[in-house]
Amino acid sequence: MIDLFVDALDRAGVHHLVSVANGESAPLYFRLKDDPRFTVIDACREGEAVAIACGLHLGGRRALLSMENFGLYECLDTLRAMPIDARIPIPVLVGYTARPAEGHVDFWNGRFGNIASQAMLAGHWTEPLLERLDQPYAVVDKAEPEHVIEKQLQAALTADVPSYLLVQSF
Amino acid sequence: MSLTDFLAQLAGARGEHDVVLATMTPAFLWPTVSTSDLDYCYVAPMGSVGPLGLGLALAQPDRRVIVIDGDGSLLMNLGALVTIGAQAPANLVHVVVDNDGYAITGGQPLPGRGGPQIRDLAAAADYREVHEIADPGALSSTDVERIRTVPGPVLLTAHVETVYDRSTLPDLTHSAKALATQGPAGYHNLRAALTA
Repeated sequence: MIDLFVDALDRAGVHHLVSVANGESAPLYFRLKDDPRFTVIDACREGEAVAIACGLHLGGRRALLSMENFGLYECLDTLRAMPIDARIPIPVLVGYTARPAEGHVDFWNGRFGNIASQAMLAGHWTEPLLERLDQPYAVVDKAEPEHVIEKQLQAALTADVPSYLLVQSF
Repeated sequence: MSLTDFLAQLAGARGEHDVVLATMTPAFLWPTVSTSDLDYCYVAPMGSVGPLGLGLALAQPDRRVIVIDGDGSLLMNLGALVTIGAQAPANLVHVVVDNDGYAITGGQPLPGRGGPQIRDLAAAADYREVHEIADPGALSSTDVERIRTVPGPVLLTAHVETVYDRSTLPDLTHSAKALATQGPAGYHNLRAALTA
């Protein structure tokens, strides 16, 4: 799935990654960091990353934003005030921690047992939140056929507003 | 020294092709002192103008980018100093208006008031040039050089008088210039000018 992402980003002219550390997209992060076609900008916090991506767009560049779903909650005000309000077409790769799926055990609920309940709750917020905010998103599952993932990527990369790709793992 | 008087000095010092991004209280006042089309003014969220300027400076490395921030605004996203220092854009000037409080929300004091100085934090975050403007009402020739040509990232602080009455701020619709530089329209107008 990484190759699909890298090729789609390159074709769409998205050659900057603005990233806040998250486990789900780490394989793509390191791949882009090693690819001379791409520039990776590490940000300390999600709201800051949103503003950097908007600044790149303001100057005529395109960036992929990368953050965890917990970080998405952190930066809602910046998303609201900048790319959502101004309809800035930024694709947002959201690491889908604690995705609510039957039989699914991820790092959090696998390691922390009952303590994971808060993380699971946060996972349950992600899709309803984006729906409530009227934000277009797709859950990208690497088990899906390539043509399905390619279609999701194209939709996000050609949208004229922020568009979100929820990825549990690469 | 009033904030408006300082901003007028800054408007006179900027280069013809320099971009100015202004946020919070300065965003209301900047359109009253600037005649440039290369301005973007907005009022939320606090703490975003430094990173916004960083992105623009990286996208257009041959163009000087001046961001006008507030002390309280900057504190809302303090990690951005580290991100900017790490990226080290030579064309970014970060002007921080220092008035000891949150003017736009009525004058609440800054956390840590009298403690860590923003210029010290910026120096620790590897800003290349950090300086406190001695007289915001009469910029020196070296102040102007720092604004226009000294390799960045540059951080300049300017202490202005404390006015916490937001009813004194101009209406954002007071002029065509203000309307053209504000909010989403302002963003897209500036983008069109920069990418034409």
